[in-house]
Amino acid sequence: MRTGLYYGWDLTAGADAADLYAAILEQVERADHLGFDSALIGESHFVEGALTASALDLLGALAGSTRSIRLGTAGRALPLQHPARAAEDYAVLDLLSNGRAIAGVGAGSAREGFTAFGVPYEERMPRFAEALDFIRHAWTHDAFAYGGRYTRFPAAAAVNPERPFEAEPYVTPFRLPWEQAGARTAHLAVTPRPVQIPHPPVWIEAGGPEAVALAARTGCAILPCPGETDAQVTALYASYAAGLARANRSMVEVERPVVRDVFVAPSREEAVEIAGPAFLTLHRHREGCADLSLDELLEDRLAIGDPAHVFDRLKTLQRRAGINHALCRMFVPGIDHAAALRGVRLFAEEVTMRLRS
Amino acid sequence: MEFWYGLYGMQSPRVHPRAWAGLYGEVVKHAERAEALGFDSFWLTEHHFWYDGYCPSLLPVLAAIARRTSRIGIGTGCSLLGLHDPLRDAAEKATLDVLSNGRLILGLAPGYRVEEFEGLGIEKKTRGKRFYEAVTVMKKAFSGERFSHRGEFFNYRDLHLEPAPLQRPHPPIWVGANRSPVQARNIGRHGLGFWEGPSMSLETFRANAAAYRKAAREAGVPESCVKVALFRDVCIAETREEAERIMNEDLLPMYEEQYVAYGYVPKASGGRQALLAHPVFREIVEASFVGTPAQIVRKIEAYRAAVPFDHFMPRIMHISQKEDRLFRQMELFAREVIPHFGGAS
Repeated sequence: MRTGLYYGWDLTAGADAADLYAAILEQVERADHLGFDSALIGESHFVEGALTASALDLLGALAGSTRSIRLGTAGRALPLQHPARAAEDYAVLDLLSNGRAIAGVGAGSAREGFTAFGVPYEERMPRFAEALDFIRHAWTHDAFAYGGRYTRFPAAAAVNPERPFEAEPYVTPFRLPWEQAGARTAHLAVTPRPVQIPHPPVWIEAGGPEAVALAARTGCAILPCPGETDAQVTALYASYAAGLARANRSMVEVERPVVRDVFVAPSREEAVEIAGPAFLTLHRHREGCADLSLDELLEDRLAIGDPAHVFDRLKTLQRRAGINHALCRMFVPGIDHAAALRGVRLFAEEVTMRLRS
Repeated sequence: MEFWYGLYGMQSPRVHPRAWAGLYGEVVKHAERAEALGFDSFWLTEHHFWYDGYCPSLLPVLAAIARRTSRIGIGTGCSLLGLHDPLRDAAEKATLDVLSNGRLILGLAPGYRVEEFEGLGIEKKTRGKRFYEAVTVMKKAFSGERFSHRGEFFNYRDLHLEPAPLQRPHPPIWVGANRSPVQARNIGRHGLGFWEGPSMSLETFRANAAAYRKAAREAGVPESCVKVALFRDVCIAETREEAERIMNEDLLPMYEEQYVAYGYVPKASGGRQALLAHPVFREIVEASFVGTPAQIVRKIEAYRAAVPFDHFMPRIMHISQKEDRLFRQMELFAREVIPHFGGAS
């Protein structure tokens, strides 16, 4: 099983942005040294109190300061921008990190960003599906035209949502004005192309059955939302596996990540004492979870305790749900940077080795 | 005087094709070197959908540079705000300013290449108006206060950008000037920095900088906000002959490819001589600073005598040359030109 770190966008209330970013960068740099496989960073727009408006900036910084850890967004809301811009951003991150980018994308969940950018919230699923279609095509082709429901690329492209692509033999994307006066650009290439072939892995935020079905159909991985119970994760992967089978695909061709709230300390009591209240507060903020108790959480959501316990929790989930990549959320409000750093080290030294064997 | 170093677009042109991943690794290394040599800032440049892979996303690259350096400023030269959503752009730039501990410098421009506007579905005709409205939106967002905006191109209600940039009220803003005095006056009227491009003659520079200052004064812009920067291609060597060899081998092939590609200069059948005869091409070649350190110093001084400015960016064409030759030029410029102007600030 692979291991990673996960930073949600809701981890930030009350923090100072500069301190928060410095802490995240230092933790991921340490994780890189310790052999973690990945780090994913969430992003939100105009949600009150949230400080992660640009995961890309943080990931770019990390591309410069780490060597082997994979770097990804988590649930970047594709409907909020032109898909060509997203394709470009990921290509640049992939080049900058020499092939370590993960495109963790989603339809978007918080309404605030949609209101701010003036994108209809109810259209987020079809917009997301189209953007994903566009981006994967842009990463893997030279000049093309796309006439989708929401995106025309270039502007003169004929709209045909059933068959949006019209590929052309490669033509240079520039023209001499006196040769083509008044002509409109018919085909363009999105450049540069990413390092990874065919393109950076796409992990789709499993925000609902539609997103899971889309992921299965297109052969993308799913990223379950943090805070789900073991049973929910298991059910999610069962429906995803069924979808993959319908698309004539198999679980072996995709990464199977999960986000878990993890904290390791030498003893279970110590781990619960440091991390228990923080995770309880975080989970109670979720819709319909205001009455949760810490015991319930420890039972089926959290993986906090001594190394053996944390290992058992993750191993059990691996057996039940078929996951192969555990993303640990360790740095949340109430757990400070020093404690998170210790947690990262202990996890790497005591849990990772056992998970890999 | 401030010395900026740039511009990097991580291009892989046909005259000197490279692997893009290598170029992205190299740019961070070159920024570290520029910092060690004492340059004040390091600048990247943006375009979209270009055949040579011209970098379309500057911020993650600047973030990598920021993480690997500690003092040098990081600049977008220019970020094509006319093609961006100013709200998203403000958010990403504010985060980068915080990440870099307040080292971000914003060079902004409306954009001019038809393909970029058509690719992103933005009307080119109205780009000037759209650009200045986008600057207004960005400044409102940078304020860190709740803001609303009702305009011709953008509408926002009751938003609050978090985090705001570290630099207050916002990172310095420069706007790329072009040939047109209208653009020069607009930059002045809006109280932004005037950044002269590499290809205009001294006469154009003098006229436009004067129009800029006049417009700024008339609009009541505080003197501290009225500032001019000059950007030139530089080929520098111990001897004049060597500097000219660098121009012929490194600079002109890039120009030949790029200026034909942009459509400024028609495809020539007669090779370099035919190209050199074209007025656009001749103008940019004549605008380049080519020579020994002493000659470059005199050239900068002559320009400063004609137009006062306190910021100079030498672009040493890095795309088409070997690293040792490039580093030699960076060093010569840093050791023998910068100190002449009192050293880097």
